Amino acid sequence: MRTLGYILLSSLLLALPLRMEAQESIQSKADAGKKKSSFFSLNSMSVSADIFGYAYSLLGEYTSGEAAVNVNLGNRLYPTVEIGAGWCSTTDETTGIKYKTAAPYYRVGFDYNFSTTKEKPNPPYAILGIFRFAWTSGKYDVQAPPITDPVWGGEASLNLTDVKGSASWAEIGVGLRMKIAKNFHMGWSIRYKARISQKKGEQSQMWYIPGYGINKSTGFGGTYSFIYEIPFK
Amino acid sequence: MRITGNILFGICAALTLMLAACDNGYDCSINNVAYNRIGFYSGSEKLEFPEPLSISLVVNGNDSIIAADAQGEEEIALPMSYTHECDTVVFRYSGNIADTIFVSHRNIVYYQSMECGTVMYHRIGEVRHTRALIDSVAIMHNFVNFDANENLRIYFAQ
Repeated sequence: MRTLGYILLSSLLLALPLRMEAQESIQSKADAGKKKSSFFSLNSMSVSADIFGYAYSLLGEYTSGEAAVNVNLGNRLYPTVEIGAGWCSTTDETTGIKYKTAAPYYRVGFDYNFSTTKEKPNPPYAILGIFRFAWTSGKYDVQAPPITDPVWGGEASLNLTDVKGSASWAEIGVGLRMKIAKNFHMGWSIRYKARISQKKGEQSQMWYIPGYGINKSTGFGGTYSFIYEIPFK
Repeated sequence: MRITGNILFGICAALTLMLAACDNGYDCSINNVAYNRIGFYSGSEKLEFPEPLSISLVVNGNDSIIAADAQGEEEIALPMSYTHECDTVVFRYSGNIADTIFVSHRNIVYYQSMECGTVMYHRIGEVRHTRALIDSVAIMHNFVNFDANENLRIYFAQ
């Protein structure tokens, strides 16, 4: 059911930019050759908001929201800062364990635009390579039903509150960004994530890492963003 | 533009499949009891215990035999109490000779994950013992979990 949900959601989200790409192709031809920029010229700044994290809450057990700021260096390199928050409050039906957390997360890195050419220095779309370093730090609660001692008898339970946890990870991925109106863009990205470090408690570790997802050594994630560009030229 | 469209479609399709293949499942540990692993030694050498030996735990005031015939064994794994802070282990040798080991420990309910639930680990604090045949007991790894580490070494008198 979760896999089917992934397919439906991602197909829907991915279909939109393709339609817009066709509409913008005429604009692209008109713009071609008009603008020339050096590799490190500061062309614009963008702010964006991601809605994928909210959409994911329809399918999964956690939600996140994030905003990003980047600068456009020569239509090629986009140094980026992303700040978000993730939250989760869930109970496992099988084990009866309750887990709750809410924490901010941060990413820094850059996007590299593969679609800029001499002929099209500023096309209305961008195929991006994405590189990020990310980290989070926060608190979580865990409540578990008692476990029974098989030899001595008796029970022991777990009730942890405000446990401190932190983690860092790296992300690489690809993305696509399309211009939909003057200074407005839409874009998606999919990212492969690899955990670098995590702080474990004596009795627990984070189950859901805000900004990363379920606490495994690697994972996938995505964004679907609305972007407003502030041109400098 | 047609080529560009095809490339974009290909990327979208590949990424969709990657996302769909994402698996959030956990591999839960097969074990559900963490054992206190004890090795037998004579001097610096591992010892296959040469005499008849039975090993029992004192459970709620009664002897509960864990190994009735441990002759020839060089190690044993013992469960630990979830709720008591000291376990009593009795080694009975031939000729009505016995040693008793008292293992003080702290019990740690450990949360693995939502899917795998909780397990009990232990941290050994202190070990006391009688000296009929046992010369000394060393704590090698005080954290008792699912790892196959040797937690205690019992050195028997030569």
